[in-house]
Amino acid sequence: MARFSKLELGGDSPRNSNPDLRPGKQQASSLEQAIEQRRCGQYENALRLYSRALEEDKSLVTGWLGQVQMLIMLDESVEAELWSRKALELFPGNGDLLAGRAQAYRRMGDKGQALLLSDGALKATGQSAYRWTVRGELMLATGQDTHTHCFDKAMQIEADWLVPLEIARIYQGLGVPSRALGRICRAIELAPDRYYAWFVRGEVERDLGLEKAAIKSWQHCLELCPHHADAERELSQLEEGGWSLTRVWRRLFGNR
Amino acid sequence: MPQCSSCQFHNMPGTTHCGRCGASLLLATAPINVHPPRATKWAKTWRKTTCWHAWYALRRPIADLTRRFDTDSLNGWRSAVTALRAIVPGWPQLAASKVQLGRFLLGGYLLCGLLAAICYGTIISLLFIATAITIHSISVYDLAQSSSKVFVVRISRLLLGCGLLGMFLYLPLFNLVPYYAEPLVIQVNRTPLLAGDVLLANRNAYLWAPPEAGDIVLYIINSAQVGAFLQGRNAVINIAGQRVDRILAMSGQSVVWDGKTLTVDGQPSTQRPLNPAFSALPLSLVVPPQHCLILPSGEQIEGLPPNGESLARTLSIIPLSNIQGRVYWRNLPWSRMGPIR
Repeated sequence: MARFSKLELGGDSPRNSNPDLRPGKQQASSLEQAIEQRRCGQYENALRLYSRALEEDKSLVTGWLGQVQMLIMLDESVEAELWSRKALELFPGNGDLLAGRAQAYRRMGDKGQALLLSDGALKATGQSAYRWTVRGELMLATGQDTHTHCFDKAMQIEADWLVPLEIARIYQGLGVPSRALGRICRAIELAPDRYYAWFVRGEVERDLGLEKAAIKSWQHCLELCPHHADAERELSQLEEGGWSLTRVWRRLFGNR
Repeated sequence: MPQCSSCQFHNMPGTTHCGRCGASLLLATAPINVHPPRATKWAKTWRKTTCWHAWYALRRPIADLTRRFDTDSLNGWRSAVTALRAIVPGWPQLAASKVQLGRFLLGGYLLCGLLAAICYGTIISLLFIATAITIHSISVYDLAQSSSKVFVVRISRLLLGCGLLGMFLYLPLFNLVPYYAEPLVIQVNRTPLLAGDVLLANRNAYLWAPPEAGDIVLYIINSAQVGAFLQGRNAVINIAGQRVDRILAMSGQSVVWDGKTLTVDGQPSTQRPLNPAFSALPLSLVVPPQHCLILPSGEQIEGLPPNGESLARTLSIIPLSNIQGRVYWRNLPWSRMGPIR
């Protein structure tokens, strides 16, 4: 009866019995890959991997939150707000998702709504560095000095180097590179072998007019990751770029 | 015991939603799209280059203002909007998701309107206009039918709708359109106009501004009786009625017409009568005030007296009060449809 020889009547198939290829393992792998891509600054890849992880298990709050965060990092705040709303329908009252939505609203310019959502996020069960990071961003955007306290609180909750790095990016985005430099230096202290932190440090130093320091940071980034395209591009632009009034201004006054 | 993935709460077995946060416990296998929407390249560029944040910030106050309306006033507003849509046939149906009917009504109406415009000035045009109005009535009828379950209400709304449309849309339309586009059916061959041609004239053209040299106008020719020799017999020709021709000179200008060329104030003029073959009636004159010069180029009169300058003056010097409007378009026949130059 060769025609029935391939029927699977109960029991694990050899494929399923392999622990490395089980769906749970794969989803964890996708999620880990997504987080790793995020730590490398590859937000587009990270977003794709978060989606892949969610295809396997839609109950992963980390996946939904990661998607929202990646959309925000990719300057797609309108889509991030829409997506966070959908995620909140699935996980009502989730603090991190509320914080993500608040951040999306802040990036869209609706600070009032963002503050309301941030209040809700802080009142929600549990605590996370992300909620305080978003709170700090809101405080900074509204011109309140408590942002330092909020960012410090975020770094206390989670000792990961990614937290000060993302804080530095927030400072950078809001035009305060001097404060960003302190945070990114802290991130590099925590993880000196992460090339993305060095790359961000180079960007911050460039914004401050510290061109020599920026070149050093990007060169260090390239030592850790020899084919980092963004660092190579920034370096070439800085070293081979033509005459620029901004650059002259920075050379005259920025390095002091 | 199933644990909530959102708040880590341990729920009772058999529950489908978390007892603490309300999240679904069966989410892992639920058929949900997990791919987020993405901004297009154009949208991202637009957001970066424009101050769209300011516009976005305005959306919330506007939404708050909208929420201030209570349900009744909103319903009333919606009813009013629905009723207003009846102005365009098919629009209420399209808004009510009756797409096929809406498209049919709107398309039929536009088609009939287009055909009526093409055949304007003939009896066929009236038939198309009537069909278009019928289609509009059907649209109103469908709207009235779906507005209430009470027969009397439906009928009264239908009559009210049709009456309002007739009073405020079609009655003004039928009064205004002929005033700006009056069809003139040419009865007699007067080169270059042939019997059966339909011209459109604007009676309002000279309401605010006086006519100018070069305009083709509808005017009343000065009546004159001319003794002529036609078909071997003496005859008296009575010249009167409406004519269509070009204004060649205005009041105060001295004109010399030698039968072929026109000189105005000593300068050769580019203006010519509507009939380019017109060559009779040589004259030399100064156009009196409140008059203009229009050579009757369409008159085909044989056997006019050779010394006919006084007749030429009579026929050519037209009081401005005799000008009735400007002729601008030939609508029929379709082969020669277009502006009249």
